[in-house]
Amino acid sequence: MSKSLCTLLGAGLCAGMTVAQADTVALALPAPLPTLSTELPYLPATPALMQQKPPRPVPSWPATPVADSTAAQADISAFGLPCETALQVEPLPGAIFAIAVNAPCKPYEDITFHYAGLTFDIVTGVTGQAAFELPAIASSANLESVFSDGHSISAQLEAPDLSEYARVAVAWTEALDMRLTANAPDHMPVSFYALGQQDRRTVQILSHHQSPEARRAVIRLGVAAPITAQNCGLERHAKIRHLQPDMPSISYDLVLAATSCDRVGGNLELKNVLQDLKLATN
Amino acid sequence: MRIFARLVCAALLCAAPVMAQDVALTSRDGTFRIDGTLLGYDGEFYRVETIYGPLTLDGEGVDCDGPGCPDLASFVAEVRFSGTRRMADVLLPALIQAFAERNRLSVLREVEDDTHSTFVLRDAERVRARFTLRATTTAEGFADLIAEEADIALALREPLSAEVAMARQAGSGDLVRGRRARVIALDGIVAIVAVDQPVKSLSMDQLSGIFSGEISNWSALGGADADILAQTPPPETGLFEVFQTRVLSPRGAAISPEIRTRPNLEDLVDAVADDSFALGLTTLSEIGNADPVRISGKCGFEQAPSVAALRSEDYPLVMPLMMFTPARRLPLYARQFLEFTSSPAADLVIRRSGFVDQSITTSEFGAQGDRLAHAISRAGPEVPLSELKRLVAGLRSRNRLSTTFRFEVGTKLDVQSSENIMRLARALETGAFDGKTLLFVGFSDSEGPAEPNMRLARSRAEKVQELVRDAASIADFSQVELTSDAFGEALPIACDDTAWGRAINRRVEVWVN
Repeated sequence: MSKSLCTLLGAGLCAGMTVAQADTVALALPAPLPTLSTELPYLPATPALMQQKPPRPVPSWPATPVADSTAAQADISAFGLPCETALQVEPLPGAIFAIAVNAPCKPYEDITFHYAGLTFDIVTGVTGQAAFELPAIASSANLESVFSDGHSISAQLEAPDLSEYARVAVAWTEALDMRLTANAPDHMPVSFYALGQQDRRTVQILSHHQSPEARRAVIRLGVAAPITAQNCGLERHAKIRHLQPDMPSISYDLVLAATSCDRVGGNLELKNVLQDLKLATN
Repeated sequence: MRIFARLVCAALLCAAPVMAQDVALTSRDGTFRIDGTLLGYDGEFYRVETIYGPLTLDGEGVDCDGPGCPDLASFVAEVRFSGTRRMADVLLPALIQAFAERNRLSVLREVEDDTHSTFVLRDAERVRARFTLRATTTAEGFADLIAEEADIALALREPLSAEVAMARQAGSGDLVRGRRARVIALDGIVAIVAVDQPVKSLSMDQLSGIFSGEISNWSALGGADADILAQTPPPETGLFEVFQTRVLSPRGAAISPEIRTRPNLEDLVDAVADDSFALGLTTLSEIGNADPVRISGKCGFEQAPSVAALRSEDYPLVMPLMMFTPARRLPLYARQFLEFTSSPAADLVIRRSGFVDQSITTSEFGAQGDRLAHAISRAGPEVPLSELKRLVAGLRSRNRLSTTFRFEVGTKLDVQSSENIMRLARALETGAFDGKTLLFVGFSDSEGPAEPNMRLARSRAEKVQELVRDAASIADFSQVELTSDAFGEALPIACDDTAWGRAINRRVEVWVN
């Protein structure tokens, strides 16, 4: 069931080509490329740091008309790669997908992902790439990546082995430091996945593989956040997806009332807003 | 005390604006007019405080004039739930969610804090209903209902006589009469221990001894020489009240001040699961990662808190989860929600949330093996072998329904059994047993001579059959046959040496073929 997807923005010349193949094509191009040395001055001085906290790309980037026109003429990136934008999806064991976005001509690009009704934002690095692991929360659902210019690429994600997993996903519609908390007994390994850029919309997913010989068990779920000057006085909105073996999935929306700014420095902890994960024996 | 304070408030403060006369309701044909203060509008009916007292008028028949008139086009049904956390934390959110989905409404849960939430139900057009949920205790739920601060009380027990009196005094009507209580689901009080604690069975006397402080070491229960770290929910919770009434009080015992109380049941359960020498009191729906303890009797019977034993009330500490409604009319959405809670769709939600639903299930005669073996071993002059043979011949080809009826005193049914009458009657009306015979079988305890016990068992079986027949008013009785029989003390479920054991044995079972 390996599945990869490559879609061109605009002309759509190489549908079905993977990111790796695109690399090969770029190397084979005979045209004189802008040298790396001429382009480097436009790169941020401290790329590693900038990846964590990138400047807002939209206002700053248009101030480089030479690179823009060069790239547009050659249709290649600052690193000599073709400007085609690709979304690659590779199913991994355990109902997880390796997602890679390649947008060589869109460094520090804001990309919004919509998956099974949940939304998160990521920002590409200097080379216009981003990669992450996405646990499935629906046996079949669409993943759509939307770029800042409005273009989008979609892929259908099929996870036939999802039925062995209990998963709870919480999508926060603002970045307010909220996090999903879980208290599981020692014999119940759980994994956490955090999707999205920390200061944007994020999705947190808890995953537990239910083996057939597993004992009856309960995983307590809650949400918590430090109360800061930035997040006090603000409502928090979230979408919840709750799925576990042999049960219909549950989804609902939450609004958490604003915490008082008198409590800055304290913690907000809610134990009863998420239904605990009760796993029955077979 | 608290209820009284609220009533005074209601009488002094809330009554003051009554004189304002802010609405005039005129019949469509203009023949009568009522002036008063609007107490409420539920989308269909006006409730008005008038010089004649509170009146309810059908909105279809009257026109409203005055500053107090509601905006009919933007009416939002407000339904306030208040009461036990055992229902408010998990069960109600799940039921509201399912109810909304069924009615094609979207739900947004506004969380104030861990104990206050509002569920906003809307369709494509606008908000239709707001269900407010307050998670507190059974006693607070009744207080809110009586003070009209809640529309539906969530309760683990029936109201105390003081609460019934308060309600009557407040004009909230009789909390006990009529169909004010609905059993939504079943739960049971269970004692739990850590998975690695070898003691997994305790008698009621031992449970009482542990929580009253008389038994403080596991060695007294056949375990290791270590202190028992017993923990309970706080005394004001419904769960503890029921434990007090059914286990401690009958033995003249009271909770020891040494026993640790924990306000949050989840914390209690997690603490017990992590400590081999702990023992906690909780509910079957919230046993977390701990193991439930069986309840044993001297004669060798043990009652495990299983789903089947809760449904048939064969487990002694069954706790029905109830909703109490006020004597006044509730908005349409509230009535539809109540209706939904007893539907098969709700049963599924109840099971998924970890509670026991009341759907009617069957078990084969073979599943009674343990009870039969026990009965045969006790056969003697009171219950001769010929009587056991009659029992086997009568029941062998049938299946037992989970629906079982038990009595508080004489022939007065307990609350769960009253709900069972309605459930069974509804099943008959929908034709679920068409072409079959329902046999109501009366059993008694073994106290006193066998013959009067047999008579009592027979009269109980006949009484239950009659109640079911009366409740199933639209059932087609040409399609289904109801009969009754009795086997007295022949087939006990629990040991007869304790009051609770005898109460479990006094029952009417239903067998179908």
